Amino acid sequence: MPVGRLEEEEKFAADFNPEYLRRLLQYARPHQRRLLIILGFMLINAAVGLTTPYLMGRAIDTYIAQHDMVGLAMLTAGYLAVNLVGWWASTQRTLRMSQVGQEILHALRMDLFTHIHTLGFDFFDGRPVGKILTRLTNDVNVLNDLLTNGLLNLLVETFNLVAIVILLLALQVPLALVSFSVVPALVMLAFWLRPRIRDAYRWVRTRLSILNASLHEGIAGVRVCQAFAREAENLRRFQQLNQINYAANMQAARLNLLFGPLVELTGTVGTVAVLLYGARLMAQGRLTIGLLVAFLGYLGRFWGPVSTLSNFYNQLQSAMASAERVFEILDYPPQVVSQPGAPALPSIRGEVHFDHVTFGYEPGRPVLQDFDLHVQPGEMVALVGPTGAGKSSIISLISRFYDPWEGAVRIDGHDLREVSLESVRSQVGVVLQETFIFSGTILENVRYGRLDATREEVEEAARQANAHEFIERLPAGYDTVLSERGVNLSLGQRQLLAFARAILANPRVLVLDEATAYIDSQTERLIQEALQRLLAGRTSFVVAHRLSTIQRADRIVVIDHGRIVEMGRHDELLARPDSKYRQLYEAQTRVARSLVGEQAS
Amino acid sequence: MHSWRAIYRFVRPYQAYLWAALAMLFGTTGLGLAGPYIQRQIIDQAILGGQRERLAPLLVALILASLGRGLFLYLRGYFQERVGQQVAFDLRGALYDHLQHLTPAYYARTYTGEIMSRVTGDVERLRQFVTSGAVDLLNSVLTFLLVTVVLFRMNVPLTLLSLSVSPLLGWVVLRFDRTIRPAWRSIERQAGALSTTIQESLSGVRVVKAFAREPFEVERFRRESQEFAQTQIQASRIWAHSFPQIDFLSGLSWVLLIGVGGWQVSAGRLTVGELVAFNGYLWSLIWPVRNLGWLINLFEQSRTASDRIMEILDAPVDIQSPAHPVHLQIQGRVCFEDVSFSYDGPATAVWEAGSTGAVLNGGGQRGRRSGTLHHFSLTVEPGQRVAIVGPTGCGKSTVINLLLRLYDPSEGRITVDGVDLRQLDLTEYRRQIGVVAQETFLFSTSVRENIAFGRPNATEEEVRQAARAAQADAFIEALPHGYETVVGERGVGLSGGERQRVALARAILVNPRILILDDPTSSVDAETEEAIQEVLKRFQEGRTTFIVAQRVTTIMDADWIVVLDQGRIVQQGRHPELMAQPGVYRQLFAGQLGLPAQPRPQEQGPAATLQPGPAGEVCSCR
Repeated sequence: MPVGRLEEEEKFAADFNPEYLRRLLQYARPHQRRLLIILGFMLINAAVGLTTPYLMGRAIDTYIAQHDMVGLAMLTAGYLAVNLVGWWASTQRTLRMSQVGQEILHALRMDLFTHIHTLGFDFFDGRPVGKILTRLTNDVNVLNDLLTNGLLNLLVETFNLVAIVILLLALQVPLALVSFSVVPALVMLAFWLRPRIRDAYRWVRTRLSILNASLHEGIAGVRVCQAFAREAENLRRFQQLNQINYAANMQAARLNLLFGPLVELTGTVGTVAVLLYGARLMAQGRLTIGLLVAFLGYLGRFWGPVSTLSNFYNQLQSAMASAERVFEILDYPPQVVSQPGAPALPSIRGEVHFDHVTFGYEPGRPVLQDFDLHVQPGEMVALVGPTGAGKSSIISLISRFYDPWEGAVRIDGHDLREVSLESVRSQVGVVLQETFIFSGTILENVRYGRLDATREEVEEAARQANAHEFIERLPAGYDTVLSERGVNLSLGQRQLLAFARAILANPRVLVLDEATAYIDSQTERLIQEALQRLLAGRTSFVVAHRLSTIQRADRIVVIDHGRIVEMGRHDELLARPDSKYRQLYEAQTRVARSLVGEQAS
Repeated sequence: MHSWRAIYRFVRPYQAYLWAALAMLFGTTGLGLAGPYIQRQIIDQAILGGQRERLAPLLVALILASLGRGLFLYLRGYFQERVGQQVAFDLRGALYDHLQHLTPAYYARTYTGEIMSRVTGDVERLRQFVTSGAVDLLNSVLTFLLVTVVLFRMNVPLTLLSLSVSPLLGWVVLRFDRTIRPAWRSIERQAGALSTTIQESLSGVRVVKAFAREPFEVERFRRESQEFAQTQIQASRIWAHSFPQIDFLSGLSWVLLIGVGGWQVSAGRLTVGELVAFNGYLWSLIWPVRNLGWLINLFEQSRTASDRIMEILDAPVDIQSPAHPVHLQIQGRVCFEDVSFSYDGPATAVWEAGSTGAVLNGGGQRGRRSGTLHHFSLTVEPGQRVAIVGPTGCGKSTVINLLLRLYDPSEGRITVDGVDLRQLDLTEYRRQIGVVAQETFLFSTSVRENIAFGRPNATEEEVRQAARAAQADAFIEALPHGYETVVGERGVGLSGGERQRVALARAILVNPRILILDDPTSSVDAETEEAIQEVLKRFQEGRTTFIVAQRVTTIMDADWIVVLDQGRIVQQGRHPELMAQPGVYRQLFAGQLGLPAQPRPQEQGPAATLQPGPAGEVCSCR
């Protein structure tokens, strides 16, 4: 049973790569000074934490033993003051740290997002949006956490460890050595047991995401399941995954539950050793009771640094995995770029020339071959041909989503590669098969065609596109909020919105990929009418599926295997006896017409 | 409260584990108190009191106490984990089972993401509560009380002083809890807004590029990202102003202990050992209070979680098999007898032909009574092919949904071979029906399993035969791993035509007596359609077939065509007749054939036989 294939999990950890760390540190560099100040506050805090056992010992030995109440009061007051300083330092640290951290995060996110938007479709094809989203959110967080918390904590805890060691050695060398005996055990637990626990929980996470994926499919495909009476079988399979998940959880828990008691036990063994040896030292007069109490206090503080050090290693590994993913995007080359200093394409008339263009997506497999087509301003061209003939490639080249391998695409004589990208795309309008609706109001969605359009202009464009009527009928008219990829509009309505968008943009050259889906005749009529207005006076390229659209074209270009097979008007092409167009046309209508003909005769 | 009681049903079978965990709790808490107590004895008696011989046994006792406590901790944790995981396991299973039986209407008004978050997030929250909620609360209370008692017996004034910090600490903790939660909520909201921005900008990247709107998108993202950073900073500001305070108050206890405790020792009212023990116990007075916020959170979250889970489990399963079903080997005579139907509930929507309906296609119909059916009557003889057509929302999908018994009619009845659908065993009945829908839902598993979907125990050879019959064999063999290639959302992407062929193979394998073609070719191009049509035609032979389609080529050679408009039959007949008369049918399909919307007079057939008959006229059942 191929359950394991439901979800491939992203990499959790990767080997240390100094290059990545260097690039990451670039993001921290501008905040160097502030990070140092934060480190200062953290050190103050650490120092405050270290004083407690020492002061306790001092109080017992010096003041309590000698009944020096004034001294005790002073020490208490001093301790209170130290705690107040700790309070202040801790507040400062938290405030500043979140400020710096968020600024670094923001910078990382912006770099990524901006770069992603320079990338071509080769990047987006075959890369689910969800995966890119994770990089912009989770991975960026992991990196930031390493840069701020991770590195600083490492420094602070190292300081802590060194400070305790020095302090204990200064207090009493032999007893200090005895107390250090707990460290190896703690290191064992931190570096040996904990990674195993972590692995166990990673396994749990993988199992859980497989379980969730199965659940998601069960819900998304519920209609098919019910139609095929699959409920029992599905439940059986789901319960299998559920059972595996349960077992993985218990397995991890069994391991995890060992951890706390073992750390505690290690602490107790240390305490016993210190007490045993301390009692001897005291009997010999080499140790005071206050110092013994102080030692007992410090014993518990080895765990923090050891644990942090082992954590840091793990954090570094997962940060490397995240860095790999983030830098993979940042290093991904954009497909088409404006030449540096390329001039803007001047206001165009709309003459489009495919000058012997050869183009494809994979090397060695051209989709268009020596494609040559000259289109006059204002001409409407319908592109017709079987799937994979190269129609989509043609329209992608006009907006310069790709560059040709050979030959050139020219608008008004300008090679598209020699003018700025932005100036081309702002003068070439595109209407895609699927209308993408952004969450926001209708107004905002139409205005996407021209950001500075007034409300009146938007309404006018909607009227032209036959969309005004249905928009007005919506609960809040133009201010109706659309959501979830616009599901609350029908396919036809979305198409009309796309037309309005394009009309508002008012491009000289328009590229239209006609929707294939059949829409009821009422809407169909509205669309055809709007289409007529949209195309009027513009050079247009239409990947046409509807007969009525094709019939209207000034020129029909029939494409097969990346070449033009024939060209002409509808009636011209139909008149040719062996025309490919005629074959296509008849395939669609012959049977139906003959049936009607029979009935009529 | 209601939902908690309902959830307890899931806990009850495992309550023995809970009791065991509680029993262990006394062990862990009791032995936890022993540690500082023994230390006190060691210092006072063995070290300061000069009774050296007591040192060894006391140290052994210390280790034993720690060992014992470790054992109890482990067992307690195990029992807690066990009950939590068991409950989560049962809940997931129950939810999945229940969800599979809910009607399309439920899915039309509930978003998939919402259901997902309940079955994943809410079950997990509830599990955490079952695992630790009750036991941890008791642990906090028990520890606090026991320590208080022990401390009182040692030194009353010092105990009172130590306790005096607790209310203050509790107040800060609760205040923090109250202020941080709205901040967390706004972080969550803003995180959602940020990821929506990213998601839209990436999903709509073609539009963004087409309109050269990259700068606009980047600007929009910058605003959201900055806003997100601000909410985070806001939250950490609350954190920065509360947490160090909580730490300080905890530290204050030690300040008091050193000062006042030291004075007491000096005055001889407290021993050094007791001071050390006090020191050891202090943390046990502090952590239960610091935990308060967390516990309250846990309780509140689990209450909403159980509400949300029960909402799913309480959703009624409308369609069920009768207790004593009629067993039927279907011949294929289907009869709709004066069937009326309307989707009830506030937010009704037709489940349009797509199987991804859960993400909701029907939103546009919200509030409108579309998809209803009025007095629909139709008889179909075994082996006949009937097409149902009409404009969007006319009720065609409803007819299909009713035939599949995804719903029951509000009035009238549907019979197969004379037996009311409601008398049949649901599984047995649906096994004898094959469906090919507009959009094929492929599961993320092998092609083979996707084809064997309706008959999981089909042999390899049967699957191949079905694939061959659906003309899917060739392209499947060409996939990287042939029939074992994983397809679906997480596998190899198939083209629209390929998906439809897999769907066909799936239906062929079931070898159904009744076949439903729910607009099977609407999402493929003309060529693919032609290829699929051929297979379909062969497949339909000898089976009662219902066709819903928007393409004239799919329906025109049906034996009978029923034209629906607003839930009523407005025309019926065969294609040439319907084409020849003015009406909905001609309007719908003339355009596709390149004909004018109104028939020319000479084209018009003998209209008299084809007037839209009053509903019920054609039905000869009963």
